[in-house]
Amino acid sequence: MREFWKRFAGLFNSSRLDDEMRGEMQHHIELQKQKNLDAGMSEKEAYNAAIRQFGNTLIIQQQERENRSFLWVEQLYRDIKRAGRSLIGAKGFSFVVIATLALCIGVNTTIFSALHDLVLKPFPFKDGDRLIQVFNISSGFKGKSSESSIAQYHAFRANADLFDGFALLWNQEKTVDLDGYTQLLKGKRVSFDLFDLAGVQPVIGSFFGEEAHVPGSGQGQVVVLPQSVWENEYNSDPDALGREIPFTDGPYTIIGVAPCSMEAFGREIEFLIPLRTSARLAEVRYLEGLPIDMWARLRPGVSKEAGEAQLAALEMRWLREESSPRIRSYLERIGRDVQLGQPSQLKQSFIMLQVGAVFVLLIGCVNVMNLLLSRAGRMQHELSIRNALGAGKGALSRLMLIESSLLVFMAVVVGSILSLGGLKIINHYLSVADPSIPAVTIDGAVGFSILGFAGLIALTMGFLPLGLLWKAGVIQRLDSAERIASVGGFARKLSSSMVISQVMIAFILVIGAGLLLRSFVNVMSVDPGFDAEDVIQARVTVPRQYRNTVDGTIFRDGVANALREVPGVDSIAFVLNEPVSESDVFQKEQIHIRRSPYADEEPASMAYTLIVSRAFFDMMGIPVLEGRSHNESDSSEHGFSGFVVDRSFAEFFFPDGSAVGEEMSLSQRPKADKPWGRIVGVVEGASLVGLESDDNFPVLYKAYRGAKPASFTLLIKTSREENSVLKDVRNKLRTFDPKLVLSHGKSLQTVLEDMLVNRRGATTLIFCFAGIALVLSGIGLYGLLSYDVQQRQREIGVRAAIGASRRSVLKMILRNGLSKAVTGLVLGFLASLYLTRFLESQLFDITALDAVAYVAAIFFLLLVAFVASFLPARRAVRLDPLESLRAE
Amino acid sequence: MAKTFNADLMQGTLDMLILRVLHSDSLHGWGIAQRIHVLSSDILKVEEGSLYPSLYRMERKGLIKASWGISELNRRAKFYKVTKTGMKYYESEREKWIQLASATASVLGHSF
Repeated sequence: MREFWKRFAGLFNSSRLDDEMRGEMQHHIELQKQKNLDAGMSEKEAYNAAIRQFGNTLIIQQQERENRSFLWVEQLYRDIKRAGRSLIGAKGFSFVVIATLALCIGVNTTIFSALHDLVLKPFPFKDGDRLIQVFNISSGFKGKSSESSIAQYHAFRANADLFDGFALLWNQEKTVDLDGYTQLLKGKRVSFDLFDLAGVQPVIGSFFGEEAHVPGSGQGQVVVLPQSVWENEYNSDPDALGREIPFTDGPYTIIGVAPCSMEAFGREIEFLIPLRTSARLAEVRYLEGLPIDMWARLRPGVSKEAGEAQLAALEMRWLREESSPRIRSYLERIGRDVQLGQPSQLKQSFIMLQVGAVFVLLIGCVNVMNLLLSRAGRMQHELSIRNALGAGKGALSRLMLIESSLLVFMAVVVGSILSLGGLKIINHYLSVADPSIPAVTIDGAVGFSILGFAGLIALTMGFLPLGLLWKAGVIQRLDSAERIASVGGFARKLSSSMVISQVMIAFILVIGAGLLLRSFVNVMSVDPGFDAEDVIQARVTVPRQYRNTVDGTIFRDGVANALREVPGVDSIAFVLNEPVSESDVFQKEQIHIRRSPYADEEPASMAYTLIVSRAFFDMMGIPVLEGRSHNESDSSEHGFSGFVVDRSFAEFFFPDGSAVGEEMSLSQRPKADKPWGRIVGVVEGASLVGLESDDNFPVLYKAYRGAKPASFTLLIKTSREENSVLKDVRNKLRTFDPKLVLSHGKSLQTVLEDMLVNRRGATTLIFCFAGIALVLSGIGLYGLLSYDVQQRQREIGVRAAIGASRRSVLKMILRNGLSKAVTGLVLGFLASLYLTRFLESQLFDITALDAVAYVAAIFFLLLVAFVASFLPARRAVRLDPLESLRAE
Repeated sequence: MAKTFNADLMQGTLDMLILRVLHSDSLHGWGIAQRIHVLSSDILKVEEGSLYPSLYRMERKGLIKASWGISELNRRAKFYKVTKTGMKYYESEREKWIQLASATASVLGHSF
């Protein structure tokens, strides 16, 4: 029985088949020898003749082995084993190749995932690629983008036939009173057609219709909950429908639950309510736009450009036929245009980063290719022997291909691990930069593209060096004297041109990094125009019983008095919204200027508005340029009567004279008999919308007094450390009213820096890329020269032997390296002159041809090139002429 | 001595010759080569580099079958034998070859 199993196993045992074959041939040779003996040859002659006649048994065996049909699996296994062994044998080589490729693949996977998720991926809705954002952009305010107006929405809905529809979203904060505590919720007011536009169905219940937008239409206030809130807060209870949410301004009835995909419009949505447009908002053509997001769905087959052209034409027609000459002149002055797409800076950053990452990959691949080439050069003897022994081109190519595939496979594994880490970092940055952006993940599409790409690299890496060696005819020659000449051929020329292009790419990256770093330093050194270091802000929610004018004033005075007792607090101020925030969420209002002589058709204009208490300018250190700051009389229960404006407001609206004493009003033009407000003072401009923003948009300050909000921002000026002061302030407030909640406490400096997180992230990453590129191209140059020195050992030996000085040998190698570096540098310089213009939108206060960045880049590259050339040159100098001659 | 030719001058010729000599006898590799040599009046010479691949190929195709026997050197050796498929294959190949040879000959102005 045992015997049987042995035989059965033997059938699949290829080495037994090989033995049989060998035996059979041996038998043949012996018979031939016998015949030769019979013919009268001597024993030795007979054997030799028989062998000669038979030829190479190995080739026959190899051919036969290849013909056995099941052989390829066996062979693949053997080849993988052999490749693995040979890679383990060349540990240094394998490590460098895997590390380089893993780094490149990791970086590219990370950036590509982010780019794909944030920019390229269409919305998670049916035909999501046709969903597109509509926004206004003002070239007069340095390309400042702003959102759309309700009037535009109505006009486009009625007339733009290249679109399936339009919808509006408007951020809204609401407070809920629960057990005496007040909680702040973030949500959106949306137009009813948003759900249709996105093509989503309610998870349960229903969505609201058009009638919900009309106040007093009989339908009470309704709210749609996002699925995540329904699941977390209501445990997915279907009975949640019909329940009421006790918002501070009245109860809202839950009528439906929207699917998770709606979170694509913003991660922090806790409720969706109908956008109720007051007659004023709907009728008045908002000139600059409200902080409203407008989304549209293009009809199938309509391009973005065609859609954009139609909206622009509609705007043009409105300007020409319906607007007054003054409105037209205002809009022409601010240079407003309608655009489609993403107004996000993020997109540009990620495209730039992706280009950088691809550059890094190119450089990495060049290094790997060079390593493979020089390895192929070293392996050439072995390859030649194998070739002579009968391994054909096919067999050798397979071996090389399997080697490179193994390397790339390992690199992909390590690279994927790296990119998971990279994504963690990116997601951390993103959550600070814009909490509404969903976290980035690697999905199937990205994974497949990366794998396909890796496969391509493996193929190129496997075939290129071998093909080159073959082309140069290197492998066929076993004669070692020929070897030196042959390696110097085509492959070496290719290596050196690859190193030159490496230097070129590295230079472009270093220039880019230099420009961004200079921009970052410039942004950071911008004077915000106010004292950001010592001022801490915190949101305060106002308990219900204080929400009337009288008690509200008592509450605020009480809070102020209590806080003044906290040690280290110098002064206190109140601001209605947040004093510093991104331009697209900063409160904007319509204003009217009353010119003398009085003209009826003076158009409405827009300005950032901020309601501040009297202590504000003093504590922020914003100087009054003209007139005075707010006083008691500037606001009352009836409205605002005295306004403070900033420098750009004064310069924009009153370029020829003083703004102080001019009449203006907010929102609506006052009726003929009502009094207008007056500008009482002009203050210096301050970067309330961030250090990066240089849009010069006018700012108007209103006096804080009559408002009775559910929450406001508390500003505390102190020289003490942020957290310890906030702790004291919290305790103090609790003694004043135990139900007072203080949240979001941080210094204005932190607020300003958080707004730069996008720029900081992009700059850091590009800087890392440039660093990697520099190191990799240095390694590339070093590798090429070292290989050169090794190959030219004999030549150098001869030169030294016939009297070349060490100096001249050193100079020769250095010249060789530096000339390549300089060639790459010149090419990179020329390319940068062209390419840096695409960076322009990311630059701050420098031109794309900034001399400092260029000089620094040239310096760093030359430094790296020098070090990379010097090390091999020194080695060449240290060679003993006799030794190196003997080495051959 | 007459000039010798390689037996595999034309693709497939060698296979046919092997099948022919295995017709009557089962032979080992050396024997096959010898038999072809003798039958062709010492003109056709079988290269071992072609013989064995050809044998293995035909064995895989099922045209011939190998079995172990004892050779004249008193050693175990593989003896090859034609199968039925092999016979059929030989007949059709032979037909084709004769047609081709006589056609070629008549073009060249020579007849057998």
